[in-house]
Amino acid sequence: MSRRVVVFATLLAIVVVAAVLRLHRLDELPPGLFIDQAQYGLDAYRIAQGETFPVFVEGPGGNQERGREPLFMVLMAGVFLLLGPTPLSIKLTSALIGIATVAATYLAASRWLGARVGLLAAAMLAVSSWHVTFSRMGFRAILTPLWVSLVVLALGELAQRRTVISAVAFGVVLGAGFYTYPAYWSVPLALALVLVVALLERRQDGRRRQHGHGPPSLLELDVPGARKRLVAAAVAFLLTMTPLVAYASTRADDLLARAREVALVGSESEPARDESVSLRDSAQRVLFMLHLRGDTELRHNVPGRPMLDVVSGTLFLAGLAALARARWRASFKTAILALWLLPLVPSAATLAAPNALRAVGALPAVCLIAALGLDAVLRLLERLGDRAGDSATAGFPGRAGRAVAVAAALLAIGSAAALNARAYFVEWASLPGLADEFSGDIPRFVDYLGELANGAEVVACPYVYSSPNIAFLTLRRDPPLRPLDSVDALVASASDSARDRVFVCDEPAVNALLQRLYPEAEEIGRYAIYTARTGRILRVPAKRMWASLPPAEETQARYFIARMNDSFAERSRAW
Amino acid sequence: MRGSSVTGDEVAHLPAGYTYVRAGDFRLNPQHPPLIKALAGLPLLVLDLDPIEGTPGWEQADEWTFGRAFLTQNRTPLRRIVFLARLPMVAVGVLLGLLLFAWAREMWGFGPALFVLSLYTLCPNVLGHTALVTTDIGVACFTVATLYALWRLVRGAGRWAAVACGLGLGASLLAKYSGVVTAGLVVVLLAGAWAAGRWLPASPLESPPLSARRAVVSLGVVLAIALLVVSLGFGAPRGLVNYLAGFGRIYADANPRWEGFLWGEYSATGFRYYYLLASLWKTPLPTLAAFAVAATALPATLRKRPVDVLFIVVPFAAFHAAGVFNQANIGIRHVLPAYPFLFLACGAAAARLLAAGGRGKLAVVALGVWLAAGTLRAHPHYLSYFNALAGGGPDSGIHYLDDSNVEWGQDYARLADWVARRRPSELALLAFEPLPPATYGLRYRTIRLDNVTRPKPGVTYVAGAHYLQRNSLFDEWAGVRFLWLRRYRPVEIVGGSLFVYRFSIDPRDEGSPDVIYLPPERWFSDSIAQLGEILGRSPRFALARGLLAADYLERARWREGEKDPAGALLDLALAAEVQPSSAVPELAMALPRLREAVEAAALVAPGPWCLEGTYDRAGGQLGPAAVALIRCLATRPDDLSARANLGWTLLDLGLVAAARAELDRCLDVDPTFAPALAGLAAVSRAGAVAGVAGDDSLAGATLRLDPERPGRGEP
Repeated sequence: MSRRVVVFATLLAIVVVAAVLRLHRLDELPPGLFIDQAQYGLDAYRIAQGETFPVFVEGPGGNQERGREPLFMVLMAGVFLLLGPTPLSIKLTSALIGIATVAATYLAASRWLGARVGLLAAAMLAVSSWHVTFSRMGFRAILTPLWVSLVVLALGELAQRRTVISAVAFGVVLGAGFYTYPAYWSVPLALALVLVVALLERRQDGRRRQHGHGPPSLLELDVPGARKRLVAAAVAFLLTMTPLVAYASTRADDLLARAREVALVGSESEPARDESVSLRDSAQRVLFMLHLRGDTELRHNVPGRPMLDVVSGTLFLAGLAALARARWRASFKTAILALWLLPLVPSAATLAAPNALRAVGALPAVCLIAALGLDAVLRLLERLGDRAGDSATAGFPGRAGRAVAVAAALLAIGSAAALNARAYFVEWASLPGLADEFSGDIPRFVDYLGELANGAEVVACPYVYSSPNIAFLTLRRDPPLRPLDSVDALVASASDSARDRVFVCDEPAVNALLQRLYPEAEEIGRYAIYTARTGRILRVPAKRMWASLPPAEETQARYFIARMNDSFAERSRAW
Repeated sequence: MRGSSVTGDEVAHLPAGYTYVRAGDFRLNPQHPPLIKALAGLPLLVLDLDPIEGTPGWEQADEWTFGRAFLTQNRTPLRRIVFLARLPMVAVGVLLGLLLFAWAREMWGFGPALFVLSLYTLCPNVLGHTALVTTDIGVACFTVATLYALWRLVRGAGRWAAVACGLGLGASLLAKYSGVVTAGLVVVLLAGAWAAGRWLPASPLESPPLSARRAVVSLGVVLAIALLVVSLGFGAPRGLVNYLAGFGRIYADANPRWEGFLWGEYSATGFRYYYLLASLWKTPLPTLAAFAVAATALPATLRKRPVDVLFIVVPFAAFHAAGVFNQANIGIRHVLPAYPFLFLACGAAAARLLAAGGRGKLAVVALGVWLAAGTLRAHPHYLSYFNALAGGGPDSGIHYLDDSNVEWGQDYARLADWVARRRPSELALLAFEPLPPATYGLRYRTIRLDNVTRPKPGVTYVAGAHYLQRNSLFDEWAGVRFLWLRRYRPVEIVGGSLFVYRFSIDPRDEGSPDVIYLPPERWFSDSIAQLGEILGRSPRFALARGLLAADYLERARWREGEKDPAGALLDLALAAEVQPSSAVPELAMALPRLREAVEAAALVAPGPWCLEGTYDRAGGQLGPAAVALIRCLATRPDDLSARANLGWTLLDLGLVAAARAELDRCLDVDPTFAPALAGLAAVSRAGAVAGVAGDDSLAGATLRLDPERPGRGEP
């Protein structure tokens, strides 16, 4: 078997393992449908329906304070077109991105450090419970590691091929990353840092070309065509960024709204939420998240479990030592360290550190460093194996050394896979309260409501109507869910007068109003979601509906509805 | 040393040591070996102390009762007893420094040895614990003595090295039960030295390899002497039996409800990485920097001098490994024996830097100056020292670690001096108390829950760092948290562990460094929010309920003074809902007065009050409903629905007479108005339940006892 076949077969095996870990029981794990997942689903549905193709997606209900980058929703819209808008489709989108990230990490790492390190890095990523968790989650942050790998891959292509097309591809990939997730901003910053170090290196003439791995060819301005490629990459980057820049020029605040909301360091006009948490403290928490104490957010991790298992964690430390000892240029080492450390900044600079979601961009570099550690261990074992088997020749491992190395690699990655699979599918999956964290009661509530309101028109108060989860799960309901936002919702409509009306409301004053308006209404159910207040489900037969309310009642009803919606909007802002 | 008051373990160790040397009786405090305590007791023999017999706790062998009585009721002043007892600890500390210097000099040379000595003498953790009657520095000293002698033994020293090693090991075992780690180290290091000599190439820098025979004989001699020492120290002929019996009681002081604290987290089973992080935050940064340099220098040294590296790395790792399995996460002092080996390792860094020429020498001097400056800055509060990674002081350090890392009762004498200088009008205190604070002449009252939620202006509050951090401040009421740490910065820190807070609600104090200014609105709302949260979790928590009602009542008075009658009325209504028995009478009395003011204001600024009142009433918001309906009736006095609604609302608030008045007025206009008739029926039933129809104060109290009472429905 040729080396290329072996590499391809190994990569295929790694991708299969990655796929199994990301697709197994995807319909039930994570359970329920979390509010953010549902909001992504709603946005993607609008895109799939052709209603919009946004540069930047506005937040729930048009609230721009929590806008989102659109790329994930665009990809999800594609999945919706194939499989329909279901909770599984939401999670499948991120799972597919996760699987693609494993392959992209191989391609990126192998461009710079050879196929062996590339395979090891891809394998470490494939079995990482950190990556598995977010691959199955349906959050847009999962695009960050993919884009980190794609940027590194595009840079590698550019460095090797030195063509204008590769320069354009690099510029496009670099710019497109801004449409993924705010944590991606750390990647261009890392590249800028590498650029500075590389420029400093250029001043040390003579030594610069002695080592194997050089800085990006973009820097080698004396190479023919370099300036042309630089211009091509810059133009492609700027063109890709143009729509976002145009958007930001009118709504700059939207882009950074969420970052400001969770920032550790506030401004005079917008103080931080918790002044007692210092940046120093937060940075230490993030640095120790791999080995000592990981994310404590139940949705992201087994609370407090280190983000790396003991095998990967040890290999990561070995990788750092190997990186320190490697005779590579400073710019190359800086690139690896920067791609690890700078993506941690979004977590370090925000509340509730360490936050595995905000730091997920560090994963490719973390896995690469662990792969370097494993590679160093394997080389040592190869030497020892060859010494025992006496089969090495001229610096290449012999059969004995290779056998030892393969066995050790399988053992290391296999044990990491077992530990991580156990952490996710056994420990995390059986955590009490996990279903609540993912709003597991909402799908049940929607089913319950569907049974009760079979065929009727459902009119809901804001807590139900404005819930993205409920909105997503009732997307294809006929007739659609209707908000209790005007007096019209309280009276028979001319167009659909034959349907009974079901009112779903947890606002006591409005329920009292409904009972006064329709004393014969039947209470067909009760519920409690989101708030401690109990909501009531009232069914009013179509023939009993008012055609129009008496003036005094109408005035009161209009006031009650407006008051309820104002109060809801106020509470939403407080959240 | 004189400034530090008696710390946690000293209460038991110091008096127990005195009983050992005075009475030869070892019954007290058997969970710790006797050597260090006996050393502390020796100087006390020269004092004129009360007889041991007759001191409370002596007969029952209760060292804590005995210790408190011995220290606080003795005819000799406390400060004198403590000062003399601590002197031998200083001598042990000096001995450790000398041993360390001698060892480092032999290992690395004079210059590096001086650097090692400076790291030791300027280490705040060493300085803090060398001045206390505790066992940690003792076991560190005798461990170094043991391993230094062993190191010399494996390098070919004579039989006296074996004798010294045995004596050192015996002393370690007599100092603290963690001395068993030292015994294990002797075995491991002897085996390691033998293995290194056998399998590693001989180095010109090291002595001839240790033979197996010499290793075995040496081990036998060392262990024999150590066992003899332990046997004698624990009272021959049953010395070893006593040792094992004491070893079985090492958790005698452990609190089964104790939870370790690390970096904002609590754990009943402790944290594996507690001592690793504690060392990271409490070791001076220059020492850590030197250790980082040493880490790069040691691999090269390993090739040349494997035995030396073995004698540094293995003990350091062993004491930290023991820390990994130590669930008692109560202070860095438990890994204090690892520190001398950290300093020895730094000798490798100094050797490398000094050999590197001028820049290296400058670096060594800079590290020394940096260390000295940091230690001087921390003086004399060494126990609560934190390096810059943890913010550089106890105010930020308590977010990382607690207990003896910050507060061990060391600052009461300083607090007494501070009080004498500042003379606060009223002192409220809550801190870790090894001895009653009154021992130091402090007159105070204890901080209570009402102080925590709504601190009183003018009172000087002093809270111990450990208590500030702990959830268990009021552990009889689960879930009550002392939120001052997150909300306020202390105006001063006495010593390194007692945080002083003083509050004011006077706007003239805004910006003053001596007090924490709280705008009155926040002063009330913070407390109300906190008590509301507590009641949400524990609805039967009567004290919190009473305090919440009192908060509402006081805010109502304040708001009335601020010309906010609507706010005052709202607060009174809320108080009546929370605790009718105390608030309804006040609400009943204030209602006419406040109502007049609310009506006057409503006439000036009319709004959709009738609709608002109906909405609030329908939503069960009694207070807001009452205020809105009063405003509504000010502009629309003939609105019978609104008036009946107000009647029902007042009835639900427990104001039976006021409710009846409103409902009667409805019937005056329309004698058949059904909601008013139904309301009056409810009023009659309520009055009958209360026993005294129309008496608001009683009716309110009784109404709340019956959740299914009539009249709660819609009018």
